[in-house]
Amino acid sequence: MTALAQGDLAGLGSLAPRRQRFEAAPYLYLAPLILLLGIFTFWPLLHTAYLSVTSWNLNPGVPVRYVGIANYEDVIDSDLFSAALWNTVVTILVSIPLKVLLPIPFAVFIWSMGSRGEIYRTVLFLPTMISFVAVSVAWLWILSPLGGYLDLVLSSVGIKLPPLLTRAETALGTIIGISTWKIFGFHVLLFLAGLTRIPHRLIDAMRIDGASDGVILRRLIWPMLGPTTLFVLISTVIFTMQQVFTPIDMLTKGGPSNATTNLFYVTYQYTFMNFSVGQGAAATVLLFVFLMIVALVKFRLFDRFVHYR
Amino acid sequence: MAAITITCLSKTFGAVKAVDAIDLTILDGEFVAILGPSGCGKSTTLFMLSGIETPTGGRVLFDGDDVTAMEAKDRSIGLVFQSYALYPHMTVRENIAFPLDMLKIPKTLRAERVARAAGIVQIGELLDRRPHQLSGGQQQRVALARVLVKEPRLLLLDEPLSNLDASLRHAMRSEIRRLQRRLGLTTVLVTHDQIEATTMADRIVIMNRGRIEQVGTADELYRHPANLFVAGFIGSPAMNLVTLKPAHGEIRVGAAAASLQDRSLASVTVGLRPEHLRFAAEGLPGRIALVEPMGREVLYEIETEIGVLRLLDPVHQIRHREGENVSIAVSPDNLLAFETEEGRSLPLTVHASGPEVAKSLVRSESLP
Ligand SMILES: Nc1ncnc2c1ncn2[C@@H]1O[C@H](COP(=O)(O)OP(=O)(O)OP(=O)(O)O)[C@@H](O)[C@H]1O
Ligand SMILES: [Mg+2]
Repeated sequence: MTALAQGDLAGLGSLAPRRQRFEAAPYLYLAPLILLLGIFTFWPLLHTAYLSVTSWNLNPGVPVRYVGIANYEDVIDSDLFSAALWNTVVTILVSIPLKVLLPIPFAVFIWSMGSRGEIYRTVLFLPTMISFVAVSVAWLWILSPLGGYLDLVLSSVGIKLPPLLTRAETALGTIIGISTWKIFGFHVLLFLAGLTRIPHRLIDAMRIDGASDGVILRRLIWPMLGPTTLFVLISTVIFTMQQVFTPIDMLTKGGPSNATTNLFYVTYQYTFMNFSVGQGAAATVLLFVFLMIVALVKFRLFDRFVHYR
Repeated sequence: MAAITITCLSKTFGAVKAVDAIDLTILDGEFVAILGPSGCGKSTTLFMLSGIETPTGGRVLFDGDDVTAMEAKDRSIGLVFQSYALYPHMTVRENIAFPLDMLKIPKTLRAERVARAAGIVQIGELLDRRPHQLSGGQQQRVALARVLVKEPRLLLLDEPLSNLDASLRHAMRSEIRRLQRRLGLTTVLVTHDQIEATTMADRIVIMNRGRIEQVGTADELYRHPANLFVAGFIGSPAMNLVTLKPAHGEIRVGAAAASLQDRSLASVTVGLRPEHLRFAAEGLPGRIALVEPMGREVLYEIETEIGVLRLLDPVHQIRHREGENVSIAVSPDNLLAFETEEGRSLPLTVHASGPEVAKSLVRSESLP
């Protein structure tokens, strides 16, 4: 009996001590993945770190020169970088209510309509499926102050459309607006998916317990959407900057006077517009640090809010 | 605390008639059980009483007031869902306290009432867990506590004990019954367990395919089933139903005979409860086909000329072996007759056993 039990235990590697022996097979299976990650993720990461302490202008004929932390000093002191950092923070802060919170009432509304909500779901999701390049071009036409679509509509009621994209005060807001329009339906869809996990019986139960619609929203739907909200929040924080790369590049190129650049676009500006590879790499490393901080906060939040399955 | 009247209540889902024009009156403080097979519309009826399903026809009255259009939250009722419907993000304590929260009961009083309700269903030590950390039976008891805590004017229970073990179920049954009596709660219990219905309820409603087949006390349903469905549904093991051809309006099983009012019927279905059949020296001959010891009693399946009959013998020893030839007797008072097609109950007049007995015995000698 006992011998058998011990034999059983020995099979459970985690419980019983096991002799360490080198096994080649697992590494063999992992090799393709490790190779791909190495070539396309870790090597570029290390190489970027290396480039960030050199000076180079992308010209293969020019030698790479070691310059220490000079690039970091230059980047951090530059107006371009501080504008990018500021715009990033503003974009994120404005995006949270627009892209994370605003989709919730839309999703709840469509959800409460049942199958009649299908058409709204489709309409809201359409922008997600259009390429962002096409979207940018379309908005360029719509927003053109010289005979653009919006201009035509507004001038018919006697209003002159200001040049939204070429004014420093309105450019960033316009970019955020376009990116919200693009991602909104996708986020509504994510919340709808989250809502379908709420059994309808729970809402019935709350009704019977005497809850009004407001109480149901606050005490049932909102907490049960917690995991979805957190997911949308994190992806908004992390991807908003990447997402707006296309409209920035298509519509404003980071201008006017650095009004629309961000931490993501700025690395491109340094490297491929100023041909300062070292500064671009330094900005990339700083972006990496920023994202690491976001990731850490994310793990903390997950522990705090997602307390049930 | 409320008398319920429902008139012509219906609910259709597309082509499905889940509840089909039912009428029912429940007295103030009465305990009514709705009993019926799966999918017969029991839950749907409860949901219409609670206001979370809107009837497609008919009316619901509470104490004479039409509440058909009243919202669930204003009805002051308690409902235990078949699926429990506990709030997964709240602890057990928060779940039970939620209805009190909605009633704006002061905090101190709330804790006391939560503790009392939790005590009744024996979950006092689980209050700080979340629903997903509980077993099915524990969740079910939390759901019970959540409705008991608010002392509603109408208590609706949708199979509230289905997931409990036998002893706990027994304890809960009497606990609910006691509480219901003490508070005078009008209660509707949905179940497909007859024992639960007969032990707990004042009256039982038998439903089938969205219609009410019969309403009555356990005794009435057992002794005078209104139709074949109720006859087959009530009683365990189920009633023997055999089709006989009456001769001159008279039916007979062994020595027992009874006459029908309608002498023209070509065929009737006769109901014989297994517990009413007895082994006898003389009677309907048959051969034991199967012996099923059930502990206190033994159930025999016996092949006879009128069909296979089950006989429940109160003697716990096995008295007859498979293949043995036996005779079965039944008291004519225990015979039930139904229309074979429509299933409606037919009144019977009992004869004293007379000279026909011998005739019937002679006729059945031809059995293998
Ligand atoms: N929302 C719905 N949509 C369509 N059909 C439904 C719906 N709810 C119930 N039904 C149908 O109505 C009928 C009655 O359902 P109900 O849930 O009342 O049965 P029940 O008697 O409670 O059965 P059970 O004992 O299995 O719980 C079933 O045929 C079911 O399929
Ligand atoms: Mg049901």
